Amino acid sequence: MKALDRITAAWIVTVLLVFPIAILLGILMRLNQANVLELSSLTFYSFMTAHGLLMVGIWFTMSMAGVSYLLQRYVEVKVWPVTLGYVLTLVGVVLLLAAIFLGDFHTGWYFLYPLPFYARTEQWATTAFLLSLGSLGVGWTVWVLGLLVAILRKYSLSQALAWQHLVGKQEPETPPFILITTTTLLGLVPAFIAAVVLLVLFFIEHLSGVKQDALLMKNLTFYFGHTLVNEMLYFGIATLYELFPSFAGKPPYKTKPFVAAAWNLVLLVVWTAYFHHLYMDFVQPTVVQYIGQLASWIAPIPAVAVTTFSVLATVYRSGMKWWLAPTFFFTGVMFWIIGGLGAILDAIVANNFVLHNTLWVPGHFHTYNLLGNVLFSLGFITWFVREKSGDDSSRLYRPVATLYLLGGTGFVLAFFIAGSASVMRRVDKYPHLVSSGSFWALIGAIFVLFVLTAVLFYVFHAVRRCWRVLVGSS
Amino acid sequence: MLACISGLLLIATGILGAQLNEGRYYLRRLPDVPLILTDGEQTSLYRFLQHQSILLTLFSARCGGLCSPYLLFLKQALGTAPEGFTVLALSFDSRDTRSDVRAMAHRLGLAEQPGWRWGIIPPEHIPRLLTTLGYSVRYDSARREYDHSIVVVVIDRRGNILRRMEGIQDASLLKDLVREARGEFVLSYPLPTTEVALRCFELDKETGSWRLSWGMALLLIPPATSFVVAVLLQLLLLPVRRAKSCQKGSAC
Ligand code: HEM
Ligand SMILES: [Cu+2]
Repeated sequence: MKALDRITAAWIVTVLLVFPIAILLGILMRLNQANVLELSSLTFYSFMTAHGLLMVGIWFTMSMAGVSYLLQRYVEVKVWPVTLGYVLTLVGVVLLLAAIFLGDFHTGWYFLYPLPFYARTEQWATTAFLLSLGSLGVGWTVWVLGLLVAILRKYSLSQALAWQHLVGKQEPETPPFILITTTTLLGLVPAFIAAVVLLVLFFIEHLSGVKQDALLMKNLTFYFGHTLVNEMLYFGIATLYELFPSFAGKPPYKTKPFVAAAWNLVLLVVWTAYFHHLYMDFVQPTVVQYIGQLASWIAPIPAVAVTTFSVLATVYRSGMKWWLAPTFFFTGVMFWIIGGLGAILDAIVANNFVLHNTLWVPGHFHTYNLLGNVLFSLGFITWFVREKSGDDSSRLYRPVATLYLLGGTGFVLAFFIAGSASVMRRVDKYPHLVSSGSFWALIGAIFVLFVLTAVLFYVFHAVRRCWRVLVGSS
Repeated sequence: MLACISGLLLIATGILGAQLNEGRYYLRRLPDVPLILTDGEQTSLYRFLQHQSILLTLFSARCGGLCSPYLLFLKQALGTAPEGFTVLALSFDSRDTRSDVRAMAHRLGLAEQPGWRWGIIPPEHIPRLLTTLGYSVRYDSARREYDHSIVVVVIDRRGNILRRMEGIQDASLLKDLVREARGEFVLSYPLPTTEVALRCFELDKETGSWRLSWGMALLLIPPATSFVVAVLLQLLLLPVRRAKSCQKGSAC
């Protein structure tokens, strides 16, 4: 049994076991907003923080684990960066959960300055949180650099970025998987460096009491946070490019010039898209706001367009035999478009005045996460399980796909509808003025029960099979 | 555009410079003290607030110092009370009677001012109110004169402090207080102080001009470092790539 198989199985087992717990936290939040439960505000915000960080954490690492596994098709992948990433992630998560549940750390998932110094009961929770961030940061940076080195040992930077295809040359060939993975990895490096700078500034204040500039801290926070969640979606797309054509019995995708152009454009602008989180910060220099607006369009639109085109062209007249894996990938792309539209609407300055901090925002990011990125990872996992156990989960296909997609759609719609009625996000109980929020919270919670049922079936199926890979008995 | 931003910055720093500690008072709830108004109405603060938000200010009818100039400043800056608000001027001096206060209002030409109300508080309730407002009063027996705060406080209908502005300031700041209390968005940004490590902006207090500072430059570290890392990896791994293509037997 190969080491990379094992560590991949370990990632899958861990992620799939945490997933239902994080969903449960989400359901409890929704039920509290629906006035079915009466959680204290502190409990609610602890749940919200744990839910957001766990979800982002598990699906970021799972998408990178999937890419790490598939990368060995092209280059030699060393296992130790993946393993180190796993260990340091575990350390980080344990510290984080301790900070949240023992120290009442409840800043929300992107821990906006100066909340980490206040939104907690125990003083040590701030320290634990900062150490946790450090552990995750080091683990993920090493992992990212490890993959980058693996690629650059075979492809030069210009080849890995498919610049030869940009100008129409055929040779040497760069598969789309390498191109997308490289642009994503290169996009993540500065995000992690931003996190390091942020962490240093946090520590300076924590240890010496010297205050930081709030605007600078917010910029660094979203440089890291936005870029991270943005890039994790691109890992999912890389996986899709690698696996999807084979499901339709078609040859692997080739890197066409427009595909190369789209992803190089992503690399160029993705790190400025985060400015859209600072539209309401009027002291941010105005040119930067314009850059943010433009980048918010340039980063996703070409990538979505070429991916949708490729996927539809693959499915069209292919006689594709649908099973769980291709279904996950295909619907993932479709919801990515819908969620992306919701996000782009919000990232237009004029609309942001209305939608900022309403439930519209969880509406769009849950669409391209729960119904986008998570599906890409589940697609990979389903494929991995079939590779290793021969079981294509056909018994699960209809019930799981139906419950998950139906439940997920209802769940995000409840967010979108409440958001367009100006119900604010991140509120544990809705005030009278927006009491319709409670109704939609109940609807959302009911739909999530479908999702949870599907997930539990799926987890039971996949974890058993991956566990066998992990302990090496297959 | 630059002028616009610096203008905003100036306003913002002005507001915040004046009220660096306003956060301490935000949403503090005033006690429900009885009020005896000069027009004869006897009520309590909360009952009074059922019909209007207030701009509350305090004075002493016996004060020969700041009280009169301050009230005249408020008269000039506000004119009649802003819509939805009443300016409530109360005496903090337990010796003042209703007629003392009425006389004072007349003297300042404010007795008939629309939207302004004057009154006293029963002496035993005064200290509670002053403490909540953070209002300091010291009697200087040598000069036989008060040394006290001058302040106007915006109070919402539940009796909560929304904003508190101390001293005589630019009249436009007072208008901002009112706008903000109405729920309008009033721009504000913390004044860069020396305690802050790395600022995004540097402000020249003399000229009001500003420029970007090293804090913003810190944002260039991530892309610059990444660029260097990418180029380094590219160069360091060049021999490995060469060796690989040699193994495959292609030209090397
Ligand atoms: C069925 C599954 C899920 C449920 C029931 C759920 C539920 C919720 C709820 C109720 C909130 C709080 C919304 C508010 O009032 O502001 C929330 C926030 C959030 N969720 Fe989910 N969610 C689910 C899946 C996911 C997934 C898959 C991800 C990401 C990969 C995710 C990431 C987040 C994040 C980042 C936040 C924001 C937390 C914050 O504001 O600090 N969720 N979720
Ligand atoms: Cu964003």
